[in-house]
Amino acid sequence: MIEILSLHKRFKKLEVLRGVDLKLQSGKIYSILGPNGCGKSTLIKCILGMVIPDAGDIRINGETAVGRTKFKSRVGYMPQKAKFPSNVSVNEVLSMIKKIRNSKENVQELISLFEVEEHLKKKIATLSGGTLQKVSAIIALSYFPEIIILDEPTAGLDPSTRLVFKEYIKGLSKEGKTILLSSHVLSDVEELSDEIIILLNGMSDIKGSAEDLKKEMESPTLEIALTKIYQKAKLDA
Amino acid sequence: MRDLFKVFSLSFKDLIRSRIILIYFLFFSAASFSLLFFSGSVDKAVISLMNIVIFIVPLIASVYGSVNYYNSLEFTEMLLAQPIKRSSIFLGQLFALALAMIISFSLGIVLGFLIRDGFIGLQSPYLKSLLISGAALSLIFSGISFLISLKNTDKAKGISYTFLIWLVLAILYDGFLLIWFIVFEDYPIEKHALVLSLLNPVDICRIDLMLEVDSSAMMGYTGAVFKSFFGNSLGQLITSSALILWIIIPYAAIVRTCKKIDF
Repeated sequence: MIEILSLHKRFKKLEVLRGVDLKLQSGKIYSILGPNGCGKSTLIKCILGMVIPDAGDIRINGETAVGRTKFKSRVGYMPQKAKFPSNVSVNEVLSMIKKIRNSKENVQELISLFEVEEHLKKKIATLSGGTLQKVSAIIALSYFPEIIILDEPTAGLDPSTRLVFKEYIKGLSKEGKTILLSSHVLSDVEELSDEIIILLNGMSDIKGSAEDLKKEMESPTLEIALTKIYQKAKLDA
Repeated sequence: MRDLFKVFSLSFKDLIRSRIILIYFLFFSAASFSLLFFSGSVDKAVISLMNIVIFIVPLIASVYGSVNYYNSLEFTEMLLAQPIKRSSIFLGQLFALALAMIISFSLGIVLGFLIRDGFIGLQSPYLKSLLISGAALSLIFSGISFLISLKNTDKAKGISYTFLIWLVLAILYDGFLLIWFIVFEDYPIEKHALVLSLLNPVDICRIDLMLEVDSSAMMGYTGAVFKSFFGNSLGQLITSSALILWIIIPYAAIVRTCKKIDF
């Protein structure tokens, strides 16, 4: 479970997060949505310890995470753009992550699931963006993470891998993992999310499922519902 | 320390196989071979090599260090999400870069000595001094470039500042010193000159190498002052200590800075 308590973050004059309060339960998939520059990446990076919040706290299963490192062994992260050192092989990258995680888990199941076997010995520089994204997915989903944070995970994946990936994520959610997804692909958001978090003007609000949101905004699609919310927030600001 | 080694290990494998490191090796082997083979005396060849080392090593360590930092940033972000200390990530990457550069540079220089004099060439005190200076400059300038890059999110700014530091320390600093010495030539400024030369790692390496070669003509003002004040041995001890400090300071600053930065 992730608890975010009154989180504030300012970059010079720009206050990106203005007291974000969230409680993300285990066994649910949360999608974080908001217009460009609303602070989605900052919030994700705060949870991951990449950005240091000015005030507030982040608790992972009750323990504070701000300024700590250990909790990250329970977190899997798939960044928007997968990039690895170009002159090493996929095997070498996976082996390093395994050593960092101090894990004996065999990631063979995920390697087979994402069909990366034939690329294991290839240099990163020779791989396509889609294959790199698959490697990134393997890293994020390996070593039994309790919390999985996915930033535009399906971008660059081919349709069949996208399908496999989404099914796997749904399975992990049923196992009790907490999953936080940031995506502009609204069909993915609709399909995967149990709850939608809207981030606007540095504040967050949990809006329920995609269906709830559409009903609330009296909109036939999620796209229209979100546009209405963003426009209303603009007027309020 | 273990985590640092895990990051170091992968980064080193990546860098040692990179094209830039190979070109760096080829450049130094060509320079070392041609100067030692076609120069009349070893002294002259070493002085020419020294000039190449004190300009090229800091330049490449600075620019490549900075470019490498920015190019690895997305991978670094992925590492930041792993259960590993920030200092282990950055020091691991930095040590890998410095070591890859040192190995490439050293093999290139050694090759020239090896071809000229066979294995006896490896016992040359000049070779030892060249290697130590090159290694120290690689460590110092890659550290400085990492520190500057860490403090500047803008790639263009970071690389420009790094280049500027190289320009000042490798080229402009000596010019400023010379002007200062000429302006105050009537005053006893020897001690000031000693202190000022210790503030520039490129100068320290140059003096150190000149003391080794014992070339008065090439020693310059600060080198001559060093020799008259301390003699060769004490002079070298002081320059070596100053170099160690120059290595430690940017690395310590990196450890401090990386804990406070947002990525």
